[in-house]
Amino acid sequence: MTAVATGQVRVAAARVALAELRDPEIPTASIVEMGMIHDVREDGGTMVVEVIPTFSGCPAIGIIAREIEQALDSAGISPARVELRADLPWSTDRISAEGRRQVAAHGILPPQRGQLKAEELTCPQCLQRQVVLTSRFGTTPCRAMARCNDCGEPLEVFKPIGSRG
Amino acid sequence: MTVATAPAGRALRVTNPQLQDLDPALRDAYGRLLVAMADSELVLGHRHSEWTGFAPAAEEDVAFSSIAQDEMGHAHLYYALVTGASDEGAVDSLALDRGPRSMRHLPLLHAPNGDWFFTIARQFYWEVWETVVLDAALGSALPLLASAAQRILNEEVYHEEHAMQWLTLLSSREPQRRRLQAALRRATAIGGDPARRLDGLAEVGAAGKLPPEDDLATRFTTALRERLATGGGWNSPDITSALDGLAGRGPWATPPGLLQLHRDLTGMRRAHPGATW
Repeated sequence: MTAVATGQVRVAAARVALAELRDPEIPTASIVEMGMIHDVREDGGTMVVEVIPTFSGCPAIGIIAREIEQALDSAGISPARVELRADLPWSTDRISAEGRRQVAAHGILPPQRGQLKAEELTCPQCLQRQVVLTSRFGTTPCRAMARCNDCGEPLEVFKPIGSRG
Repeated sequence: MTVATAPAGRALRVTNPQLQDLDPALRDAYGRLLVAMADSELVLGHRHSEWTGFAPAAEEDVAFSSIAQDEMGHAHLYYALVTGASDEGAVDSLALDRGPRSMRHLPLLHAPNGDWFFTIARQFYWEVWETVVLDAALGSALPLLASAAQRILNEEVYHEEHAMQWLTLLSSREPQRRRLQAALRRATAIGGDPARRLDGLAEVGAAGKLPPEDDLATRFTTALRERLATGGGWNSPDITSALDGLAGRGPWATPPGLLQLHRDLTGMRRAHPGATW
């Protein structure tokens, strides 16, 4: 096998390892499906993973970086390095369809396209469109708080950011 | 006293490898502007966090804690543009190892929170400025600035909405409306014009990498007036006259409170140098 092909296999193996990792704040959600991986490449024998943090103030990013290094090490891919690309904007449009299902599986309403419009949300409990926003800020930087006026259920909503609709 | 040109003690070193190709004078001015924005976010984030447990409603406890977390994240991002993202120790050192007189933030932001009205007035003032300067930064040719500005703007949308919601609520009846008006007057009187007070901005503007400071100053007062008119129905001279003070070049007052804030902000770092957690 040529060196180039070996490199491609190693990058593919790294991507497989990354696909196993979950967001510590949303344990059902894959960091790959959340659109956090900007690039995976080899740099002179070192596996480099460029990560785009979601919300700038999210304290989970350090844990995520550490878990990436551990996962690659466990997969026999070392040395490896994580580069945080906070200089690049992350948008909820980067979350894949599968990622949106994973967010919903944790009980959080997935982000809307465009702006947050509570009146267009459907309550997952009673399926009515009577959701009102109670606060733009919730238990983590990515969540807003809402309530269903029909069944009274308190709801968490993933805040859309940078969405082009 | 004009703080914009206050000496910064030790000279600022811009060590980010991605900025080394810039003309040295421009790199220095860009670095000072980034630190001015970073310090502003750090200081305001700290003041916001002081509402945790004391805000007038549980949702506001959460809101100001969350906004504070965002501002700390943005401060980190600006510092990391100066030091380079890979040197976490340098980011901490730049943020926390300087003395209070080397801080480059807009002095309005270190004033004690006072009451809810001043807190909201100040948040409104800063959020509007941030929107204006970051919108301008989206078109900047300075390396790394446009994409970082886009990231921050994406998140700041919620902060400005929060400030506008409270502005509208507090201006809907007396006596809250009068108290908010007094708080807005005080914020503008202390705040002065960030376009003229933030270090590095004039030089970066003169180099054509951001709009000239006169242009930014005009955009800021226009944006304040527009939002005051829509959020509080404030298009009459009673409140907009408070903005007249912005038109000049100071001198603007510097409020007390910096030494206490700096002590609190850096206390953990000084007690446990080099610690990480």
